[in-house]
Amino acid sequence: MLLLAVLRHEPGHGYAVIQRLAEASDGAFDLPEGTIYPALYRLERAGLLASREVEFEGRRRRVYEITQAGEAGLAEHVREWRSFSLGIGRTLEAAG
Amino acid sequence: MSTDPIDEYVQRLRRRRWARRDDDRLIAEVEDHLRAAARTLEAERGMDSEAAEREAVARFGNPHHLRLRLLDPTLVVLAVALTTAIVTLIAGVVAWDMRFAIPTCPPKTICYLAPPSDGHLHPLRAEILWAASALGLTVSAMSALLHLRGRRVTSHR
Repeated sequence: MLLLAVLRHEPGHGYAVIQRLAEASDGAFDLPEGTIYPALYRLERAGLLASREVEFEGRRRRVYEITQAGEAGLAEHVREWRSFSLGIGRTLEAAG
Repeated sequence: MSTDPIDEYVQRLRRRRWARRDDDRLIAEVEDHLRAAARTLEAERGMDSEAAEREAVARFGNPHHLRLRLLDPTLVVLAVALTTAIVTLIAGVVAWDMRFAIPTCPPKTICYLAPPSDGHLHPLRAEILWAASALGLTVSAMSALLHLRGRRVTSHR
């Protein structure tokens, strides 16, 4: 969900995804960087992301972007997460 | 021999190629990632080139772990289930063949020495071994089916 979220408005390569995650979460998601690629590959295989190669400083660089299915999946995950988060909050409030 | 930490890391990754379709792509992406990370470390923290590369490699993690994470969980479960099924089947066949191994054993049994050894052979009916073998095969098949079903349900969410 978080990977889709950080790619929602702008395509990016793997390192950019890591940086956006760390920045957006204020360092809370400062992940081991190698973990990003298996996750990106799985999302791409699931059709939620698409990738293409672009030229960058004389090198080929792979850039990921969210697909329509990814947008729909993200919206669904966000709805689920908000509902879950709301439920937890209410439970904790009720428990004092 | 190169002392460039990123080159060394990429070489380690190449040595661990598993003939995956994505191997070349992954290696190119990892190298690009590490060089971008090293440049950022140099610019933002004022590290020298080699220290920045070492830091970038350390942050990226062990190439072996990267490979393990790339394995398709479905293939892993199916491989384990298939191996269990084959081993169970072979054990069943061997057990069946062994029923005549000890001439003093009653027909359709294998014999074993019960601990503590009392010097006597105890017969075990071959049907029990076949039942255990069939159970092993069923469990293997069910674990594979349940995994695939769970995966299908998850993918529809």
